[in-house]
Amino acid sequence: MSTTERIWEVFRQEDEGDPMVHAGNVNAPDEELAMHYAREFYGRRGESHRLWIVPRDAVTELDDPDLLKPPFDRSHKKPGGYIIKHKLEAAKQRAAGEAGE
Amino acid sequence: MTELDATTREALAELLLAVADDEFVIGFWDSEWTGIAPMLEEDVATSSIAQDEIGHARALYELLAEVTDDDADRIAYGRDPEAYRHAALLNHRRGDWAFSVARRYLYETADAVRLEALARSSHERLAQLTGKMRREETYHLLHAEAWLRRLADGPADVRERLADAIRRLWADAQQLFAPLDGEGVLVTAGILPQPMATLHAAWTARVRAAVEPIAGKLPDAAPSADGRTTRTDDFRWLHGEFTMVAGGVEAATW
Amino acid sequence: MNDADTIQPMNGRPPYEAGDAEAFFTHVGSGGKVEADDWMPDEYRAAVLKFVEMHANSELMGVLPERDWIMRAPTLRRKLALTSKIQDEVGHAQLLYRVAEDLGKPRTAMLQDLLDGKTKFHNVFHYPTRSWADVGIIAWLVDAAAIVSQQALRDSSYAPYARTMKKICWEESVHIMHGRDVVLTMMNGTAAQRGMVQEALDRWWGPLMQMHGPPTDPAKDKDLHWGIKAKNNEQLRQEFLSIYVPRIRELGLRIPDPALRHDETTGRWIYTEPDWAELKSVVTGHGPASQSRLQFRRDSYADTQWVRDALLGPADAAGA
Repeated sequence: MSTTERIWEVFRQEDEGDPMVHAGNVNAPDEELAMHYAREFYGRRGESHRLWIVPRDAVTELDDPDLLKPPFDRSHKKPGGYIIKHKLEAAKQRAAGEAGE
Repeated sequence: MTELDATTREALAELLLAVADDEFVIGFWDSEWTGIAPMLEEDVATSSIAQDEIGHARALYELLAEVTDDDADRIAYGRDPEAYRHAALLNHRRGDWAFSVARRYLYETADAVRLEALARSSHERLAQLTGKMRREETYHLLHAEAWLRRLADGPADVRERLADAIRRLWADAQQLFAPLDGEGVLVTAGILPQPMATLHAAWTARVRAAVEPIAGKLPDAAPSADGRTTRTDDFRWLHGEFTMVAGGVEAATW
Repeated sequence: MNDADTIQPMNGRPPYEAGDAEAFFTHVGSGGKVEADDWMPDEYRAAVLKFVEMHANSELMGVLPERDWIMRAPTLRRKLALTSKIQDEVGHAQLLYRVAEDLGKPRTAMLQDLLDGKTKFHNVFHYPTRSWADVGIIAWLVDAAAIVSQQALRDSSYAPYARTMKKICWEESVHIMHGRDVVLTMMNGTAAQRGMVQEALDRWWGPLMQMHGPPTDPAKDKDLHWGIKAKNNEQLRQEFLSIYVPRIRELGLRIPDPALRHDETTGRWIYTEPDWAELKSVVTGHGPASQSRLQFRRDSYADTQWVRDALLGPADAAGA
C-alpha cells in the first residue's frame, strides 16, 4: 500500500442516540477526502445521523478467545445466570397454602 | 404568492431560467464523469454533486413552470439550443480532470455569491428554494476547494494543468454574472437583492485571491450582454444527446 | 430475559487452529464465518478472491452499458434515477474491491488485470445497449437476476463479503423498482414504446438465461462446499424464473423462448438449453461489446493516471 494512501474505517449512527456501528471502509489519501468519501458511501442518501472516520491503523483489535471467551463459569455476571422460576413457583405455592390455613 | 405584473413576471422568468440552465448544464457535464473519474471513491462524490445540480435545476424549472404556466420537463428538454440561458462557462465539454476541477471551482464560488443574495429575495418561494440549495452547496464548495488545493499543491506539471484551465475559463466564468433582461425591475422589487454587476464585483474580489497565486495575474474581465446567449458545438452536441430519446417518439411519456 | 441454562462453555476455543485446514473446512462447511485477519488455507483465500474480484469487475464494467444513457435520459426524474443507479454500481465496485484488497491483492493490480483481459466480468455486460428500453430491461431484469445471486451470498462464509452483500442488496432493490417503473411507463405508453420494450427483451433474454452460469456438479463445486456461495447456479436460475416470468408476462410481453414453461409436477421451469458455448466465448472477451468496452476503460483510466500519480504517489503504488 502506498504511503500516501490509507484505509479509513467508517462508523455510522442511524438515528440520534443510537450506538456508532461499523459500516465499512474507504481508500483516501488524507483525512479531508476520507471524510467526503465516508459521507458519500454512508450518508449520501441521508441515511446517517453521524459518522466517525478513523484511520485503520488507529484501530487495535482484540480477538483472543482466552481473553474474550474464557472457560470458567461466569454466569453470576449475567442476568441469565440467575434461574429463579422453580424457586419462585415453590415459594408462591407455599405462601398460598399458608394463607389458606 | 402575491400576483406579479407581466413585466416583473417576465424578468423573474429570465432570472429563474438563467440559474436553472446553469445548474442543468453543469450537472450534465459533470455527470459524464460517472464511472470514469480518477478514483472510485471520487467517482461517487462527483456523481452526487452532479445529481444535486440536476435536482436544483428541477426545482427551479418547477418554480419557473408555475410562474409561466408551463411544464418543467418541457422547459428542460423542449427548447432549441439557442433558447438556453446558461452562462458561457458551461458551453465547454467537461475536458480533463483539471478542466472540470477549475470550472467546478469557478462555478461554485460564483453560485455561493448568487445564492447568498437570492436567499434574501423578497420572492418568498425563491428565497426558500435558494436557502435549501445553499445547504447542499456547502458540500460542493468544500469539495471543489479540496480539489483545487490538491492539484495546486501537486507537482509542477499538475499545477500547470490547473493554471492553464483557469486561464482558459476565466473570461467565460465572468458570464455567470451577465446582465439579465429586465434585471432592473427585479432589483427594484427586491426579488434580486443586488444587481448582477454588484454580485460580480463581490465574486471577483474573492476568487482572484484564490486563483491568481495558481494561474498568475488574470485579465480584467467583465460580463457581457451576450454572456448567456452564445452557443458552441460542444453544447449543441449535448443538446442532441439529451433530446435524443424524447425527440424520437411522438408525444410519449417516459 | 430467558432462564435457559447460561453456564459458560468449558472450552471457548476457536473451531480451528491456524494451519489446520481440515478443521477450517469443517468450520466453513457447517456455516462458520471467516474474517479478513483470520488464518485461512491458501485455496480458500484464492477461491474467495477470485469470486469477489469477478464480482467487483462486473460492477465496474456494468456501469458502461448504461452510462451512455445518462446523457440521454428523457426526463429530469429519469436522469436523476439513472445517474444514481450507476453511481451505486460504482459504489458496489468500491465495496467489492475493498473486500478483495483486504485478501491481499492491491486495487491497481486488479484494475490492471481487468484491463489486460486477464480476469473476467459477467456476460451481460459484454452486450451493447440500443435504446431507452434497454435501460429499463437492464435495470429491472439484469439487476433482478443479480439480486437473486446476491441475496444467497448474504450467507457467505467469508464475512466481509457477506456484510457487503447486505448493503448491496438493499441498494439494488431500489434499482429494480426504477427499472420496472421505466418498463411499465413504456408498456402503458404508445405502441411504438411497447414495441421498443419487446425488442429489447428479445435481445436480452438469451444473456439473462446464461447469467447464472451452467448447472454445476454440486459434488465438485468448491465455492458451494466452502460456503463462499450458498446456492448453485441452477437454483438461482429457477428462482429468477419463478419470480420474474409471471411479472414479465402480465405486462403483455412475450418471452422469446417457445419451450419456456413451468412443470407443475416437478415444480421446475423447463426452458431451451442456453448456449453455453456463447457464454464461454463472451466472458473470455469475445462478446459484441467486450473489446470496445475494455478499450474505453483503458483509455479513461490512462487519461486520469496523472491525477492518481499526483494524489497517491508514483504509478507503482496501490490506489485508484
